[in-house]
Amino acid sequence: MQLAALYAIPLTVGISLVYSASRFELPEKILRSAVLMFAKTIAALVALYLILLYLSR
Amino acid sequence: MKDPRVRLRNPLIAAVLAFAIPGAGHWYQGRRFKATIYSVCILTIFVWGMILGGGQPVYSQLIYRTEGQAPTAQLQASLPRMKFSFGYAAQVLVGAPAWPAIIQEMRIRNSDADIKWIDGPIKSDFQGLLSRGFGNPMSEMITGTIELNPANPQGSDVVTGTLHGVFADGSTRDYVLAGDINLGRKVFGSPRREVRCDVLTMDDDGREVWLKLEGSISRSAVDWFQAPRDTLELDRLNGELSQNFDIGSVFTWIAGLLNLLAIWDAAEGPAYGYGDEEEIPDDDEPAPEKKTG
Repeated sequence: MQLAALYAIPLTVGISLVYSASRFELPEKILRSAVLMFAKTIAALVALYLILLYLSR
Repeated sequence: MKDPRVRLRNPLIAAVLAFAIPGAGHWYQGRRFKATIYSVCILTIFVWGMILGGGQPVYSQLIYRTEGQAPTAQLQASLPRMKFSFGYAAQVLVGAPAWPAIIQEMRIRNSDADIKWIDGPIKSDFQGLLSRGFGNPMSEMITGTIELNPANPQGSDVVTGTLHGVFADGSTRDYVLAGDINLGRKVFGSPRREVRCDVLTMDDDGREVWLKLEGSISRSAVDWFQAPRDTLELDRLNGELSQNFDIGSVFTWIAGLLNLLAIWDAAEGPAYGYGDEEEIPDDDEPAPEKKTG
């Protein structure tokens, strides 16, 4: 895996926080929503990576 | 969704502030937690993108060389033909950090590009090629220090200069620059300013020989930061920074688009509500069975 692929982790943290902050007002709800969104996004990226890795063999 | 518990103060002022500086609109409204999230996340992504892209991913216009005018867009004296960079439509949403691009575009549109004019003496590093003709394959790489002096201390298009050249084998030689000394535009989105001129020197037999010098000197950051550039400069950036230039550009786009969410939130409040509302079950879900007996 290229180092640049790891940029996705902090980038996803930032996007999740900003997106969740624009949806809710309560800090606890924002953080909970951001954690959930981060987990779902990273899981989707990992799944996509594994599919592409398999197809490129 | 407007919730009476969210104090928006003057939404228009808040939206303008949010556009100018990410998080500033929410700070004005007293929503400090969200202001911190917006400013830290959006500005970090933007600055990170700028660093990855060598400080050059933000520009509002791409310059095209006019056919037959000059060998490159930098050396073109006429008003450049420019095309809007669509990426800037996203970048500009990040606010003040992307505004220098507009100022640089105005500077290019409103300034003459006398490619022989310099405002005052210039002393800079030089890197380029020395040959018997521009584009001649039998050319030598040369680096060193160049000094350019206008005939008038206040600026002139009559320029004299010298080059203290260092060749690839380590040997050095001083040259007097001659003929018309052409310089790239003062404002241009490249840290390197093109130089083309003739050089008068003596060969081994003591005869005068005219050579062509083509290369570049440093350009002041004030004159290249976020300024319009041409495709040659983009090719150079892609070659030098590889994928990092593209990744950096995408990061700056993302930062701008994220700030659009922040601007909307400053004007209208959070999209889904305050965050403590009871979740409404989907209509498709079966209703829980009532216990009887």
